[in-house]
Amino acid sequence: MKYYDIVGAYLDNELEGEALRDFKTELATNPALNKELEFQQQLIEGIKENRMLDLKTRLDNIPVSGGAGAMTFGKIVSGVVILAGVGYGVFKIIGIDESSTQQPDIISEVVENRPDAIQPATEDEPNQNLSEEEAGRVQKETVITRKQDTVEDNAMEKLNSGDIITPDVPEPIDEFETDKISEDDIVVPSKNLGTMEYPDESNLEISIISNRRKYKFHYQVKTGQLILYGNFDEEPYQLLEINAGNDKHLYLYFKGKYYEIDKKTEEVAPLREITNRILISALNNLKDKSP
Amino acid sequence: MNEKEIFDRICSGDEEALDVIYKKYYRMMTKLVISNNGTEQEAKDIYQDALIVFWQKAVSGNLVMTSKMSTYIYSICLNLWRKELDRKGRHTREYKDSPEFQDHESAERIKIINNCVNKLGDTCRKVLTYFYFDGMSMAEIAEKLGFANTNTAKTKKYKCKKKLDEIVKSMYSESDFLD
Repeated sequence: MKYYDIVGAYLDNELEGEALRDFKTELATNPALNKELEFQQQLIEGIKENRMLDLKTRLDNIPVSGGAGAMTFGKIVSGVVILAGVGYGVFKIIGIDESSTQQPDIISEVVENRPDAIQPATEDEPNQNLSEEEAGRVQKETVITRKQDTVEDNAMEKLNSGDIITPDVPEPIDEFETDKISEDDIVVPSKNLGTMEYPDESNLEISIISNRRKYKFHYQVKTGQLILYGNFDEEPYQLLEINAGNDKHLYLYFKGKYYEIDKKTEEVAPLREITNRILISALNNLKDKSP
Repeated sequence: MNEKEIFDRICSGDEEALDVIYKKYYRMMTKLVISNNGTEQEAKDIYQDALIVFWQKAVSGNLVMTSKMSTYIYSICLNLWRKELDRKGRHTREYKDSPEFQDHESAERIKIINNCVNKLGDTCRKVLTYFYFDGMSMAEIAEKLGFANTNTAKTKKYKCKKKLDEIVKSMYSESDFLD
């Protein structure tokens, strides 16, 4: 205890001049003085620790809105806006063609493979046989998918950079990219409207049956013959054929609308109107070029 | 309250001003640690430590701000986190050796004294912590705690420290400290 005051004065920087020099000299040779110094240094450290914990407790009790890793309201709102934007863009594009939303499995598979040309399905996989309608859809979907990737990548980059995010909505694709289907692949019917027309390659004979109650607007492909059920005598019709790889797809043009003819269907099937704008555009182009 | 007002209030030892900047910069500072392999808890600890360093320097009058407060606090956070990463790296590379053990012993003693400080009265605790941690002058302590003058504060501080010394020595044997 006899060193308490002098050590306290030293630690509080109250010693100066000769008193300070004498203290340091004594410190070099006096173990008891050293022990007292060490003890008081630890007292001061304990006091500091107490204050630090006091302040930390105070800070701990302050409510904060969550750390950087937490989802804030702003982030959630931004996320919803981005999703809504991307979703709206996708809806705008896909919404052009209702049928394209009906068979997402085929589309996603083809998009995943990213074919350069539309490949016909094998006989083992009849459900995956792509019609030209689907082919057009695939082409379009490929473009859409790539655009979606770009949108998401940009969004992620912006998220990471911490910038304010405004969704980039991809422009809907209205124009058909006609260079995707070569004109060489298109077989133009050789005859004009008003006659029974079909491509030479198909060797299909066409007959019309208009007196069936059950089948008023149907078709059937049977033993190399195309049977049209309905009043097809009232107005001229036209058959169009498009090559797709090793396969050919057949379409009926009647009263300003196009219908798909599935050559593999031997049962009587209703004629379904084609709504795919891209395919319609291609068929219009083909029809206009026909002699 | 603008930045200068907050800083002035912190310099005068206003803890409510510390609360304000703690909330204000919480996300910014914790993001620094979290984005550099730190956990949320580590980020919080580092930010609190940095803010306490800032507080200590500001209150003791040893800080002249030449940049924004956030810039200064950010640099403290960065340094503290680098040290922590370095410490963690060393901890995994090396086994506990003698210096580490000595640090542990010292930390234990400091913890004991901390408990003893809590046994002091509130005024004593404040006088000692304001003086040794916050670095306040006797005049500032006298003003803050409502003492008549500087000498009163000085006498109070002497007595409080003596009391702490007695508490520690009465509760723990000399060998716990002076081995």
